[in-house]
Amino acid sequence: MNAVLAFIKLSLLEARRDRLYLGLVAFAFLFVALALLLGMSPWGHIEEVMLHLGFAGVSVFTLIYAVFMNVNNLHRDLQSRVLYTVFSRPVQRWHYLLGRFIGTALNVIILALVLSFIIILSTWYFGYSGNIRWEALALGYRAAIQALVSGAFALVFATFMSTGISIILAFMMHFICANVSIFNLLIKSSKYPGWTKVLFKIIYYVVPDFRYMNIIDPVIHQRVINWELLGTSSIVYICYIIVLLIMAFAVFQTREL
Amino acid sequence: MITITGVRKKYRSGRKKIEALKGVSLTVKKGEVFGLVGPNGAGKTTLIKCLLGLTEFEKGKIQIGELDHKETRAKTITGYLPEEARVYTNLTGRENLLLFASLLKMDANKSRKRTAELLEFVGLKEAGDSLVRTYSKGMMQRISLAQALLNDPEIVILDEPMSGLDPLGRIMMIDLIKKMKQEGKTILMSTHIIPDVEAVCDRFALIHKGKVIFEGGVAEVIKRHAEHYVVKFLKEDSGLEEVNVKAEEMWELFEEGRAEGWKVISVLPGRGGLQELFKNIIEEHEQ
Ligand SMILES: Nc1ncnc2c1ncn2[C@@H]1O[C@H](COP(=O)(O)OP(=O)(O)OP(=O)(O)O)[C@@H](O)[C@H]1O
Ligand SMILES: [Mg+2]
Repeated sequence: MNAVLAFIKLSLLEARRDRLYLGLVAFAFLFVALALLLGMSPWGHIEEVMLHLGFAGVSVFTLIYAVFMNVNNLHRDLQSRVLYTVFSRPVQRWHYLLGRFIGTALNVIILALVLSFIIILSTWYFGYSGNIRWEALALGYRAAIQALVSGAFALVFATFMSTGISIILAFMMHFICANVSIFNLLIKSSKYPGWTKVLFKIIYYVVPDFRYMNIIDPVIHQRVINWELLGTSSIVYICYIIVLLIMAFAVFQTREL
Repeated sequence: MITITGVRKKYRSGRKKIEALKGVSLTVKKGEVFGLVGPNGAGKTTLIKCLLGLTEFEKGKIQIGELDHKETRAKTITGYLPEEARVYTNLTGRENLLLFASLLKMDANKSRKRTAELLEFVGLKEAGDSLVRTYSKGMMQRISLAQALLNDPEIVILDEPMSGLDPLGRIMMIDLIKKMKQEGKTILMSTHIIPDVEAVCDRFALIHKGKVIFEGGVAEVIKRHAEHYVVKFLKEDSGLEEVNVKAEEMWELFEEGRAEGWKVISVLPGRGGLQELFKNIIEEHEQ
């Protein structure tokens, strides 16, 4: 466990030192600030629009951050061959991957948390109701955990594919997860031949459904939030993450460094 | 200390298979500096990777002391300096050492002390708190060597420790290797620089296209094959001068030099030294 901890610390430290990662964070702040400014334009419903746009920004940037970091950390360590040094020590390969993944997850969660606070406080400051909308933290949480599922997909791809392809495939998986219901329509449609339907069915049943954590509208429009749904979908996502990590460990174990 | 028997290793790259090691056997004795010598692509790095469990091999056996190379304990008595120093460039030298110390399950106090000691040993006391990405190549090499020595290993494995270093860096590395030998460590180093073998190695193996084609003692080979030596003098009036001399005439020459007040700069084996031996053996195998 020492080793896992060491890689968690390493990932946290590198996130603060690496110019690429810092650049991404700066972009995220800029984007969210712009979204908030746009939300403040005099269209009415300032609070709703600010929350909507702001958290859309959080979703996009936690996703980019998680996918990019999971792929880049591994590929950079492989390319620079620092992993030769690492694995010449009594360290299991899965220790390394797990530590890196958890470290990245913490970075993603911190980013989501900070951005959420900024959005919530600006909404309170510029809004009309005078309420601090703490329940909107759930949206930041939603963005982070979904980004982590996609980040885990990215890590699996990165264990055996090139940087570019891993990143593209991970974004594709995110898109599929966010629109799984399309596949249900495709299955029902009669236009497609039988074998594609089998494929659609597999995707429909195997891939995690991001729509399931359906809390955006209730949070933003201050309706009743189904906390139980938030809990069960979290458990489902965490199970997916665990399965994906085990797949990544298995592939990474056999690959040439 | 290290026994390698019949190791075969194939790399797959696409559909092609590259046979990098074709049955390599050799023994490194306790306390010696052993040179793994061979041209580019000979399989030196591959052999070292097999030894450290960084890659799987199809056939053969590697023992470190009494242990199989894959046992965790084997990894706790070895230290490894990879080809072209490899540590985390976004960390400082000290942070790198602390990171790798925690991979060795060293406790916080001990690792802090050991880190300070090693930074001093490799001459990076001042630079220890700068980011490694600001280091020169020689500093990189030295911080990586410090990493390899964290666990005070019995066996130190160096992959091309002198490559890319300037003359001063090279001298420093040679000094460090000699110091490690004095501390009783067993050292396996790969290189394709022959003078480095002459400078530090006790014995060496010549590896070519995945096979060991010669194994022997450095002194022995020089004694058997060197036909003459090249002695460099510094003379008061006329500067540097090279003299070729047979072994049996060497002392006579030195006496003469002392009488004249010359200074000896270097004595190296000339024709028939390792360099030529390698050339001959490799050419023989090419045919
Ligand atoms: N990861 C790999 N995939 C495929 N082939 C490889 C791989 N690593 C090495 N090889 C091949 O194996 C052979 C031996 O390479 P190796 O790196 O062990 O040589 P070397 O003696 O260390 O050479 P150098 O002096 O250049 O460092 C070469 O033909 C090389 O192309
Ligand atoms: Mg090499």
